[in-house]
Amino acid sequence: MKFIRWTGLVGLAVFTAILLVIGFFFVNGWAKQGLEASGTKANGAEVDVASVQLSLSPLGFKINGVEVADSGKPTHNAAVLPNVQVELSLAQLFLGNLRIHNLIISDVEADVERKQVARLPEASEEKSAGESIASAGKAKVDSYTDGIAQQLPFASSVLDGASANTRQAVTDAGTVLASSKDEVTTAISKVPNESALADYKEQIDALENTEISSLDDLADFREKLQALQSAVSSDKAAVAELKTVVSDAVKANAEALKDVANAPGEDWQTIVETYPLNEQGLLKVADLLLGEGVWQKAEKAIYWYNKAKPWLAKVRLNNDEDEKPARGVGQFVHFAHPDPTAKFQLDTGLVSFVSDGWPWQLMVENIRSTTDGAVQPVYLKLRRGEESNEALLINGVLERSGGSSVDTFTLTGRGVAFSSRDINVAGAKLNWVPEDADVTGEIVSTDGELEGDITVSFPANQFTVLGSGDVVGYLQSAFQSVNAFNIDVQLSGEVTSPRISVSSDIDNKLSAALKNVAKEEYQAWLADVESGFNDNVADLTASLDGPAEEFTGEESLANFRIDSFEQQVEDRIQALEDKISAKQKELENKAKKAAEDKAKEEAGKLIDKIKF
Amino acid sequence: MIQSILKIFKALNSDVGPWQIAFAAAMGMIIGLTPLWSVHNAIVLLLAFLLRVHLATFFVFWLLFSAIAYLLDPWFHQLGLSLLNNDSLESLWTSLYQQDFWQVLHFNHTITLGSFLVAIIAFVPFAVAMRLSIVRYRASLLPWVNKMKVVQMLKGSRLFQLYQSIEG
Repeated sequence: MKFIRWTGLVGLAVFTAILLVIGFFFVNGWAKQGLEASGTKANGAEVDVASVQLSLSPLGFKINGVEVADSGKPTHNAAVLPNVQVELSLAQLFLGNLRIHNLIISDVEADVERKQVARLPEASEEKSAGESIASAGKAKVDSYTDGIAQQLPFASSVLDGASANTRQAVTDAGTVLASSKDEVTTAISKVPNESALADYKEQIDALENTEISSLDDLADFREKLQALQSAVSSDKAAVAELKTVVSDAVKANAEALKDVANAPGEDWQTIVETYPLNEQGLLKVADLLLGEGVWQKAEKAIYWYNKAKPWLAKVRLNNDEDEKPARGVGQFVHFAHPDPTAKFQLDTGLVSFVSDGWPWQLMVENIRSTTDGAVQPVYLKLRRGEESNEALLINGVLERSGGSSVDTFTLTGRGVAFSSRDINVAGAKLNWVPEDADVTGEIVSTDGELEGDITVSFPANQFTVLGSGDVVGYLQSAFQSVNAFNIDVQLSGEVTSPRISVSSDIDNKLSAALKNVAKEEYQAWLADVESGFNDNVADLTASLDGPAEEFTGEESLANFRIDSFEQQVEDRIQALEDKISAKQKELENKAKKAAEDKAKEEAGKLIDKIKF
Repeated sequence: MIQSILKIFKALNSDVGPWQIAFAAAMGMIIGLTPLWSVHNAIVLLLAFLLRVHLATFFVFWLLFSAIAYLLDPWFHQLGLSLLNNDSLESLWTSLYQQDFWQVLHFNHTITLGSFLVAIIAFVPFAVAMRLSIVRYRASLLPWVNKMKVVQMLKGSRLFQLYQSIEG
C-alpha cells in the first residue's frame, strides 16, 4: 500500500465530512433563503418560506409554509402553499438540467390575509400584465353591472333626464317669441299713431270739403293733395316694413312652436329605444343569473394564465447548444432518445386546493424546454371533486411550435353547484335556487387570440321574487314557468382583454309565458313613463303661453295700426285722387262744350255776315 | 509556480521514484488536455491526491498541457465530431446516450471526447517515456551537469540555497 498517499486520503475524508456537516446544518437554510430571494424577484412581492428540508433518497426538497404575497394587494397573499414536495433527478443536475420528476403542492389557499404587510422589492410604475388584466377585468365587470342596472329603472328616474329635447325646444321657442315681439314693437313705433292719424284725417277732411269749380281750383287742389301724399309716403314705407316684420315673426314663431311640438316625440322615441323590450333586454336577466362571482372567477383564471405564459415561453426555446460553438468551446452531439431530457423538465405536477367547499386538483405533465425544436405539448388537467367522480374537469393542451402557440382547454362538468343568490332586478329582489348545472365547452387561444364557447345547462331551477317592486308580479309569473335553460358564454378577442358575450335560450323558454307578461308590464311601465312625460311636457310648454300671448297682442296692435293707416289715410287719399280725376274730366268736358258752343256761335255770326 | 518547477528539478535530482514523476506528468496531461469541468477530471484530481504521485509535477504538467490544449482544441473538436458522426459508431453512441452516467461524463461533447481519447491513448506511452527519460537523465546527464562550472557557480548562489530549502 505504499502507493497510497495517506495524508491525501485523510484530507479527502475531512473534506467529505465538512461537506456533510455543511449540508446538514446549512444547506436547508441556504435553500430557504435562495427560494425566498428568487421567488420575491419573480413574483414582484415578498415570498416567505417557513422551512426547507433536503432529502437525498430520492433527491428532492420538502418545502413548508410558502406564502406568496399579492403584489397588487400587499396585505394579502396571492397564494399560500403549506406543503410542497419536489423530486429531482441528480444525474440531470450534473448535466446542468433541472428535471423535476414530481412536484406536489397540496392544500393551496388563495387570497389569504397576511399577518404583516408584504414587502415589495422596488416600486414599479408599470403594472404587471396580470395586474393590468385584473384592473381591466374589474372595469369590465363594473361596466357590465352598470349596463344591467340600466334595464327598466323606476319611471321617475327615467323622466329626470329624458326631456332634454323638449326642454331645449321650449327654451329656443321662448327666445324666438320674445325676440319677435321686440321686433314688432320696434316696427310699430315707426308707423303713425293715433294723433298722427287725426292730423291726416283733418287734412283729408279739409281737402274733401274744398269746392272745385274751375281748373284753377283744381290745380290748387292737386297741389295740396300732392303735398299730403308726400307727407304720407314715409309713413307708408314704415307700414310696409311693419307688415314684413310681422310676417317674418309669425313664420319664425311657427317654426319654433313646430319644434316644440315635435320635441316630445323625439324624447319619447329615445326613452323607448333606451329601454326596449327585446331579446337583449331579456338576456340581461340571464346575465344576472350567472352572477358577478363567475366573472371574477374568469378574471382570476385569466390572471393566472397570463402569469404562467411567460414561464412557458421561457422553457420553449433552448437552442443554445445547437448554435455553432465558439473556438475551443466544442459542441454537444445529440442522439435518439425515447425521453430526451431538456434543460428544464417537469414530468408531473399536482396542485391541490379547496375552493367553494370542493377539493380541486391541478395536474400538469411534461412541461419542458427543448433542444431540437421538437416541442412537446404540455398537458394540464383541472379537476373539481374526486377522481372518476369529478364535478368539473378542464383538460388543457398547451402547444408551442414554430413561434406560434395554441392552447386548448376543454371543459366538462356535471352537477356543478351554483349557490342560491339574490339579485336585484328593477327594484325587485329575485332569489334563485338552481339545481346542479352541467357545463361543457372549449376555449382555444391561438397566439393570444381567444375563441371559445361554454354552455352552462341548468336542468331545474326555482325562482322566488321578493319585495314590492314594480316588476315583482312580472318576474314571479314568468319564472314560475321556467324549468330548464342554457346559458352560453362566448369568448373572443385578446387573452389580455377578452370579449365575453352571454346568450341564452332562457328567452325561448320564457317566451310563452314571459313575453306577454313582460309586454303587459312593459306597457304599464311605458304608460307610467308616458303620463309623467306628458305632465313634464305640459309644464315645459306652459312657460311659452305668456310670451305667445304678448306676441299675439303686439301682432294685433300692428295689424290695427296697418288697417287704420290704410283705411283712414291711404284709402281716402286714393278717393281724393279719384275725385279730382273725375272733377278734371268734368271741367274739361264743360270747357270743351263751351268752346264748341262759342265756336258754333261765331260760325253762325260769320255765316250771317256772309249772307248779308 | 517557480517553487513547483524547482520542486520538479529537485525531484529529478533526488531519489523520488521515476514512476511517481511519470504518472504525475501523465495525469497532468489528462486534466490539462481535456476540458476542466468534466467529471473524469474530478476522478483524475482525486487520484492525484490519493496516489503517491509527485504533486508538483502534476500541477506543472496540468498547466503545460492546458496551454497546449488551447492550440489543439480545434483539432480535438474535429476529431470528436468525426467520431460522434461516424455511422459505424452511431449505435455505440446511441446506447451510451440512453444512460445518464455517460451523459454526465459528456461523452457526446466533441472536444471532451477528442481530447480524452488522445490523452488516454497517450497516457501509458507518455508515462513510460517520461520514466525512461528520468532514469536516463539521472544515469548519464545528471553527473555531467553537476561537473559543469556553471552549475558549481549556481550551487554557491542564493537561488541554490532556495532550491535546497525546498522539500522534495
